[in-house]
Amino acid sequence: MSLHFYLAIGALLFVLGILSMITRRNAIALLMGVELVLNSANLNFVAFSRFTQAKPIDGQVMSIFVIILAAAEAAVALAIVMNLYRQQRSIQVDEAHELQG
Amino acid sequence: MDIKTLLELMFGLLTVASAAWVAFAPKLLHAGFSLLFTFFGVAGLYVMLGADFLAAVQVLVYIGGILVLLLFGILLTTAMPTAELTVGGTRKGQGLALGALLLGLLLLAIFRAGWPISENALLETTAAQIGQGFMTTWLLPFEVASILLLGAMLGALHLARRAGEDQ
Repeated sequence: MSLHFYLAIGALLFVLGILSMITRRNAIALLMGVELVLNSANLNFVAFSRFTQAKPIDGQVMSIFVIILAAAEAAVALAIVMNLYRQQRSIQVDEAHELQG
Repeated sequence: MDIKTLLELMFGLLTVASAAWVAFAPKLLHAGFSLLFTFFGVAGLYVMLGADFLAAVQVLVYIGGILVLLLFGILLTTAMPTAELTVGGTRKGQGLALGALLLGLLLLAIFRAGWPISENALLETTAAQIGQGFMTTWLLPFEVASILLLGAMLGALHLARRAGEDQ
């Protein structure tokens, strides 16, 4: 399979992640969308490092940094979601419109 | 069609189909479990691209860590009987139209652009090369990432603590 196959898979993952972010109301479903988008970016990094003149290991190292960021982001975001749930008994993002705790 | 192409198609189909179910499943828990298959499919695609260490990291960190965290989050916040999972009516239609537009634009760009394609030779040991890269070329980002993880851990602990437990 060529570069185009992997880029198309990455594009589909990206669009599904964006759709999940803009049509879901639940904060955790939004987080799932973010994870899909990050995965699509990773797939593109690895595919480019395999199929172009770039140094083959660079894309993989970049993907590992993205995974590190995703782990940190998921932990902090879930802590925020738990806080929101404790205060409002709901994690619907369109009901969370007060910034002041 | 050789076996590698078949496997690539299979992993690609698994990834996209389960990601679609993540985006459109009517129940949140189903979306969460579908995400498992998406991560697994992406790990398979990494193997097909010759990134075996990255596939292992994907399974360990995403499936073993992030997904479990998300599922715990779903289970801890289920006491919302009337909550709707997705936006309804015209807003959903607008979202779908936007997504279709974005997908068309991306696919157009992917297939029209003249990528300088040249298939690299497969690396024999990616783990060793990645480790050496972390200790030489990527040393500063590596250290910054470790500080970021420490900060995120402390921040998450602080945020998740109940109010009034400050002492």
